[in-house]
Amino acid sequence: MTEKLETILASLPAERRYLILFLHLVQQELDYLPEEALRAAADYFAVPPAEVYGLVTFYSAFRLKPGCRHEVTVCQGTACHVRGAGELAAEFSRLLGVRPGDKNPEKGVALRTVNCLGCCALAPVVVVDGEYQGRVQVSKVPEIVKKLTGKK
Amino acid sequence: MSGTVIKLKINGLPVEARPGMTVLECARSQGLFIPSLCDLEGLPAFAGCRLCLVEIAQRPHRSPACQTLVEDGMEIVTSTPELEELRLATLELILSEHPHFCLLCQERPDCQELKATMVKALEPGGCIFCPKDGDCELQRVADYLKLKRVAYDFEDPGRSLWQSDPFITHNPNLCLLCGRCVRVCAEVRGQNVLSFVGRGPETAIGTFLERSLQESGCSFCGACLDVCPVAAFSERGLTAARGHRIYEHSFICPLCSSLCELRAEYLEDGQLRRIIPESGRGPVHGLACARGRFGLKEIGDRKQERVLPVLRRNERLLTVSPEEALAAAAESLRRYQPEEIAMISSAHGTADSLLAFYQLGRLLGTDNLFYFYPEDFLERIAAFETEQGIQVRRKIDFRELERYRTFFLVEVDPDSEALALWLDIKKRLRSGARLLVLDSILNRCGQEAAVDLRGHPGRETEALLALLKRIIFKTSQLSFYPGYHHLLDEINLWSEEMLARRSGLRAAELDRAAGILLESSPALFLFGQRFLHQPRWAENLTALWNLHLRLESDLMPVTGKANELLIDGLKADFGLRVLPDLEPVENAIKTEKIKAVFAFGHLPLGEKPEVLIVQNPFRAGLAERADIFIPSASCLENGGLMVDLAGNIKQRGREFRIPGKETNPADISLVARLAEALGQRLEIENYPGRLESRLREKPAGSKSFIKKYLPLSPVVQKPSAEPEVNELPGQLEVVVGGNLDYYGGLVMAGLSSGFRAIRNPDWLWLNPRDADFLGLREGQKVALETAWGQLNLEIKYAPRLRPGTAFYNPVLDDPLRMKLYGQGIIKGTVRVRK
Repeated sequence: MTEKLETILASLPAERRYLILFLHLVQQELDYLPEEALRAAADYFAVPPAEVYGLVTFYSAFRLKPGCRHEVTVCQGTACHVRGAGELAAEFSRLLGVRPGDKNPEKGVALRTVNCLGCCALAPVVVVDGEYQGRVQVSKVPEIVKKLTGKK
Repeated sequence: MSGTVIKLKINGLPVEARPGMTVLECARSQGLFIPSLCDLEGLPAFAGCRLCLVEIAQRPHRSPACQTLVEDGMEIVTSTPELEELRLATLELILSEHPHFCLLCQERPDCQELKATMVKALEPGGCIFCPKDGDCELQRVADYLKLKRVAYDFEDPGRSLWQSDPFITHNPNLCLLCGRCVRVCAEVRGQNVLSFVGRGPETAIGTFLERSLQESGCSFCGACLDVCPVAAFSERGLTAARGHRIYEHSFICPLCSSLCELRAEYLEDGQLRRIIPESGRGPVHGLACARGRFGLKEIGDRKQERVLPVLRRNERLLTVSPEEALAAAAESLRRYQPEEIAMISSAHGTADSLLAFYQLGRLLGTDNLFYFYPEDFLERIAAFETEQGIQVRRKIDFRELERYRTFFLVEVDPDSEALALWLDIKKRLRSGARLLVLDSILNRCGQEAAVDLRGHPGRETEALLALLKRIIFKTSQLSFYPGYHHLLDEINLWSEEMLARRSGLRAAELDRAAGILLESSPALFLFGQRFLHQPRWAENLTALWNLHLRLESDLMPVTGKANELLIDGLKADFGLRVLPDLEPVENAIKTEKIKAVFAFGHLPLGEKPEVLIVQNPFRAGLAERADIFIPSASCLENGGLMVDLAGNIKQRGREFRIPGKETNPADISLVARLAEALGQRLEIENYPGRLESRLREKPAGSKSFIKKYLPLSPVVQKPSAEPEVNELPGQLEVVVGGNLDYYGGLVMAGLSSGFRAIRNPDWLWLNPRDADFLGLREGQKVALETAWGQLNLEIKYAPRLRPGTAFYNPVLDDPLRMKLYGQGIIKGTVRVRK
């Protein structure tokens, strides 16, 4: 892992503004951000570790623990919210047996909510294993879940 | 620019302001109150609470006064019914996330006496036990805005409290997210432990991965406690102020050369409530560190009961009155010839009491006047100056710091050794100055540095020469001080590559450091006692001298202890001798040349003379072995004069009046009374003038020195002369540093488990990678074997420490530790203790 981190660091100038890019690259590579990556980033970009951690917890795109085989993301942005994103998340939560922000290791599914995915025209938006689905209705949720947990 | 005055109107009244002032500062300077919770004098503006919104003519929106700078012709209105309504609505929003029962409670007027309602805030006891009650900024703002109700239901975030750290607790449920703690921690103190974490309603104050403060490298300076407007950050176990009469006593902390002014708060029963920084300019400007505020608190707690004098008669210990003890001391001193008497003082005494002590020695006619000075710092500099015919400045002038654009810290950590200096350097860094650090061990300031050079211990000379060589070859500019051409010839003997390798530094970081030194001048080089506390200290100083001269910069030592700058004056006045270790005295005791020792303070004296007189605030350390123990007032109760690292005299009155608390006499009056008992009189009243003239005095012949380059070859080992070090497997290079966490024979870590948890003098600091390699874990008890003896220590991880280097900073309370400290850098092997 150390080598991977060092390779990524070597490709970036040691300037603060590359910190977020670095974190994205690490997460792409390792699927999550381990402590070592945060420390390496703090050291290299000369940003205090606490601030790196603050940044990572601010953006919901970053995660500090490994993800799951399957991942469902329900947008809770304003447009999605008014189109029933809350009920959508609740329905996913009920059917997957997982609270938002948590994962079900048995089913291998993680559910999370995010603040906005930037495609408000498609509201409400759900991302299933990286695939964006727009105008999702609560009635469609069982089908999505079945497809997801069925395909394994 | 600074002369110009800005004219504006506040609430219709013409007002003058300085450029750069904020509207809030300007309004406050006129005695106007604008409610605000996040702003604090000395912190960068945050505009988070939105309570200080004001109306400014010609501006469409209301502006936060804390972030708006004054402009000529501005017309500001600070209070209108609409503004107050807006503020009240904002406050209600803030309170939807903060327990506010204490602000609205019906019983509030009678609360103090009746304590009628037990459940007010979140926990039973609520505001009665809230240490901020009565002193809460939220209460003040709510009172001003006449808060009557809160339109929103209070939602208890139910976050868990930070309970695992000593001294500091955090209750996130009380937090307003004003960010003062985050700003003071990062911007003012440079600790960077706290940060905002999470987002939206989940936002909270947090640390790296939500670890405890201890695990996050917190120095426990307590600044977060001072700035928190509510009780979110509060001192552990602090008694609520409400309902108590609090007696305050200001004193000077004698534990380092910063001499911070602190304030002790006592309750009616004489119990020490807390120690906080004394600051006329608000909490941000107060100076205090863990040592002064929490360490001295433990010491103050010990002072609950009065310490009484003790006499040893026929092997029995008798408690006596101060008069009897002084009479016994006078009698013993009279019994011996002057040459059989030695008088030794340790640090921590006030400057005037030192004068009294040595004047008494002079009057007794003894030549054996000693000052115990294990650092030997200024002595080495003086010896070097004489040898080389140069002169190094001694006093740090804080006003001059503004001049420098780069600060280079060489083996000095002002954050822990000279806090006042560090906070001033931090201010300069905020306005664009650069910081470079060269240190082989953990240096907190390194986190803030543009380049943190963590070199190999004992190879500072190579690191500095590597920088010098780069600087010489990067510029075509010549230097006209004598000896430059010779230096150019000499420096060619070393290759850049070899210097970098030996110093343990990467070429890239050396390049960057050299680049900074060249582009942002002038630089100030500050070096500390560790730089000279090693076998090759003269080489270090030679290299540093040449580097500073080449850059036309300034060079200054940072003294770590109070009154250090006075030693030269004491030497001249009283002919006293400076002792880096006590061996000469111990030998003289063994051969019975010295039969009576009068010790002023605690000393790690191994031998016991016929008569041992100890004057100390506590019966601890050497005082426990004394034949005559004379207790004096502690620094918490004492006043007097002291000399700081700038050569300034700091003074506090001696008055200490806390009812129910009797204190022992101050050191100076004890010495004067002893002198009287011996039929002598001390000229105490002349001391302030005497100190003043001693400190102002220029060193003799200072004009005759010229600046010149020092030849390397007589001092610095030739590159070929030294083979590369072959280290045994598992052997560590251990840097032994000084420790200031003790007072009057009491070691803070020994008194309090809390202090031991944050700063244990028995820690062996190791890089986790080294620990892994050696099969060790954090917290493990180990034995460190050295050529001088074995020490029982505990492993402590330090991820920022250079691999291969360990660090140990013992309190010097026994001969072995003294020995190791005298070496500065030792080799040792670590073994797990069963």
